Amino acid sequence: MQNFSYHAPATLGEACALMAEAPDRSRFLAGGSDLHLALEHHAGPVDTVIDLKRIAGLEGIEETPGGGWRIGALTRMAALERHQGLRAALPALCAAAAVVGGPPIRNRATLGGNLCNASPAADTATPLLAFGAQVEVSGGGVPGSNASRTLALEALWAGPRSTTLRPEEVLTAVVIPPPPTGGGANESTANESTAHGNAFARLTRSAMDIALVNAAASLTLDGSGRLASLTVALGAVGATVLSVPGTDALLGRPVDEALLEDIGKMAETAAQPITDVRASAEYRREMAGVMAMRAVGWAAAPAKGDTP
Amino acid sequence: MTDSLDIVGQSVTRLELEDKVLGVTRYTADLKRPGMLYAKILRSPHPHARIVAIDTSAAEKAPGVHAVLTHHDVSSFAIEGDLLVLDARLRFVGDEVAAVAAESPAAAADALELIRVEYEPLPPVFDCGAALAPGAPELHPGGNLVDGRRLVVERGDTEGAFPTAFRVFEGVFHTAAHGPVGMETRSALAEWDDDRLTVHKTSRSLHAHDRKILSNALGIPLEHVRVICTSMGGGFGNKDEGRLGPLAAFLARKAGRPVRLEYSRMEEFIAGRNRQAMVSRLKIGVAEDGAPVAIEMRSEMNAGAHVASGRNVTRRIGQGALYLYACPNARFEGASVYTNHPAGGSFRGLGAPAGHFALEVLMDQVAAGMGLDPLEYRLRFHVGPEGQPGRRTTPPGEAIPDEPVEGGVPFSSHGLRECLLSGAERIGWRERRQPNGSATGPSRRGLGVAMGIYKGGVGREAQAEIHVDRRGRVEVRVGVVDVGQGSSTILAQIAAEALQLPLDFITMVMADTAHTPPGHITAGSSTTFSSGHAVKQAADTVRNRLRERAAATLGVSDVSLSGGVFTAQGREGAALTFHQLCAALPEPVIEQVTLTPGSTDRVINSFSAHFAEVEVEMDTGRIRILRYVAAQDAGRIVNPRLAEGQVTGAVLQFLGIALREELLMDPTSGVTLNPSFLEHKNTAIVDFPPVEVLFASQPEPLAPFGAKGLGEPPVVPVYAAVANAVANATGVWLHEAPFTPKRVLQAIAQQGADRP
Repeated sequence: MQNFSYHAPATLGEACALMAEAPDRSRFLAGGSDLHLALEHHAGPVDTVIDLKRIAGLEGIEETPGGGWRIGALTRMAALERHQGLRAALPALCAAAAVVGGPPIRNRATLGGNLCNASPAADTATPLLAFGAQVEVSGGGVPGSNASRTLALEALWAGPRSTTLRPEEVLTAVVIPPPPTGGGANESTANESTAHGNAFARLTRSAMDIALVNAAASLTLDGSGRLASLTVALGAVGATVLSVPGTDALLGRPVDEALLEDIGKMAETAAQPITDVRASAEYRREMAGVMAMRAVGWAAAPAKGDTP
Repeated sequence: MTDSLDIVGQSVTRLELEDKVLGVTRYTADLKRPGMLYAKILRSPHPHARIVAIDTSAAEKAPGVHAVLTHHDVSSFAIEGDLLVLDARLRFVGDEVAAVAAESPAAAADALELIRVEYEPLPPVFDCGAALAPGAPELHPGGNLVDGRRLVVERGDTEGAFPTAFRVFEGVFHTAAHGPVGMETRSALAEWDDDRLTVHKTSRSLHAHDRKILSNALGIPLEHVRVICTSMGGGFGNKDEGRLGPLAAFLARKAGRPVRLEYSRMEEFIAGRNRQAMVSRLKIGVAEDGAPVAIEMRSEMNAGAHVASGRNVTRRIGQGALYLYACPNARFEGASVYTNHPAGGSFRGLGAPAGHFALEVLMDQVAAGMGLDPLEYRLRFHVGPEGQPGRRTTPPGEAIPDEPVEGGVPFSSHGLRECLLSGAERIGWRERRQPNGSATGPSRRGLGVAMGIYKGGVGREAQAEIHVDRRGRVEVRVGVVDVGQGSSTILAQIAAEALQLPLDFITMVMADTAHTPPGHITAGSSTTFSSGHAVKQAADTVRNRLRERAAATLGVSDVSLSGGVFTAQGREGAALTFHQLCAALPEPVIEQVTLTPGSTDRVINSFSAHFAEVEVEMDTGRIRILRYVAAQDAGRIVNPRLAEGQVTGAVLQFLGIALREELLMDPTSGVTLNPSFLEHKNTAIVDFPPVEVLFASQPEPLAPFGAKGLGEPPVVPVYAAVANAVANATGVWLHEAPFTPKRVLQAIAQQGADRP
């Protein structure tokens, strides 16, 4: 590992200012589980590491009015995995957090780090995309930087390991909107009997592995068990985590085998996988369909909602 | 031999356990010396090339650098027939070009970049077929077929027998290259004291290999070389690369300072020794009742750049086909082929797992084709205690080979049937096994069985010394290395049992050429049998001498010995402690034994019967192992807990190899694509269920306290047990390992299993 100077500022402003001094040769440090490997293997020269963990207010999970959630960027995977309220409302996110590395990694790795590392296989990114999450970013008041701003999660990524953030900008929080009340085809029947469900499915080579493919689904069923909303996201089958387009066309249908078959085909079409040492593109494409079917099936049947 | 045993058969705690758990154990790479330098190796970027020119002047002037080594600086001694210390000819991506010793690992790594090498790239060849084709680039003089010929062994007359067969079954089976992955990477520390050399090294053969190689390569007398292996972090029959020791020693001599060379994990994957890819074409002819009448296997191994122990690896592919089923006609033909893959070498079980994969899966197809349950088929036709039909070919009075081909020689002990029956009962075979392919639904379960046969009593020349001094210190000196399998504990148990002394009276001295008699290589599951024989014989003699002395001291004709106390026979109350006796010794009692155990009229083999229960996800192709029962015939079990550990470790290691581990290589550049734990996925503890281990009960009459080899036999049937369970679940046969989900889906698509 290369030598670098280490800073642990107490405020966001200091952190961003430090980064602005030499953005090409500096890196932010959150949990460090990705940065550590990058420094050892593929990062260019790094002189300065700026630790964000001393900055107050960047960690924590809170429910927002209406059933949404706000999660601080420094919140660790282990905290997501164990949070009772989150497990009840967003099991897809908890399931994804629970499979990132092993327990020691999950005690260090942060949600913000997982998203800003911008790996298309980042497990927490897929459910967050399915939830329609947004991210808050801040330039810490550095002159010339953007003011604090909020952007859609999909606008965060420019490509594999690349974000749209300015170098000094820090992702500070993830905001998950309340689940849709049900709309589209069944607006007239939307009432208190609608049910929300979400689930995460993942395929790996071994029990502890990066995803070959992952998928998340978030849906609402109306009182008669028909789809009132549906979003499906896929990971590790494109340059970024991606949404399966066209799911609105399925609204109004019950979640049955025919629907799952259609989801599977749509996911296979949406996937843009590559071949690498982990799997071939053709296997990944087929499995994108299988994982999407599983995620939707599980999301619709909370009683069976365990992930593998 | 005593009938009731006190220490052999007990799960005593392994001797070095506390040190390992507390982190006190020193492995080679933990060792440091004042002024020690760190070495790094420059590796070839080409799969096949010649070094035209090499300029090390800038590297030599770099800060902290004390020595740079190229092929110009080393002797032309061939470590192995096809391997020099450094070579102007490079044969794989990662081959050793040069080495640097510097004051820090970083300084050494930086200096590598300053070495200017002019390469003349040569055409590479990566697969066996291309390597054997006319006009292929020759990797070594004499061509790419190792030794210029295929190995052929035969019993009876297969050519004549196949036309008489009622039915003939055929299949082609592939296994992939993979890394053995000891947790400890290879390492060597060399230091000179004038013209005497001491090398600490990861090794499985200090006396028989490293010491001789170093003496010859460095041009110094054997007695000036001391080799030590403090502790091994994983052996698996694999740490036998030849260059590591000489490179460290040449660098240390040139620098005038101690030098330590340690492989990175990436180097371990590329330039350690890997299991290379094998393909076997198998043909089985059976009579109307299903009995095998002719078995023929033709195998090829991609040996990579150097053959190392590859001849034995290839030979061992065939042993199951030759010997596991009673069959009058059996033939094996094996070829080892040089290519520009990284060098292969031996690894736990050598070719046997690949050979048994082919044999045991095709035998399941035979059973299915003949309408027999695969367990029933095996119970009916496995080789029996009487051995193979046919005539003995070993001349009378000569030792029976440990990999026999001949018929007419019975087994000395034979627990195969017991293993089949006990394993089948444990997994519930007769109640739960359904016909192949009868399961339905998205996840399908199935049971599979596979057997294994392996060397159980390799007769290596073995030596042991026992010293008993006046303080009552009992040293058992053996030159073999405990590679992590626990042989120091096993040999101590054998010594204590034979000496009739408590285990904690015994001090084991091993793995240091300065303090042990010559020891054999730790290979072929031979240590308990061969060194165990020598230790037992030495201990028997020492015990008898001490008892005679005690009897004389007590003035009786005989004494009994128990718990470290000699008690007079026939005279109440007269006793002498072991320490009292030793204190009165006129001189230390020393006994040295050299022997080569074996049999001139029996085959000594170990047997396995493994049972797997799997679940196959029909939509992803994923195989889950639900249960695994491994029944082993290893004669008497010296230490049940260690033995269960051996079997459990073997099965888990090979479940990973069967299901996913594979070294991938770019087909045009020859670059290894996944030399890391991230991408060469090894088994984690959460991947598989606990292994249920059973042992057969019959002691081996010709082994020390009845114990046969156990290190490798339990790896042999794993591929096939899983593949046969998958066939039972899905109706689909797997012919290519590892059984990745994609390969399973392809087999399902090709063989037309209905998916839900």
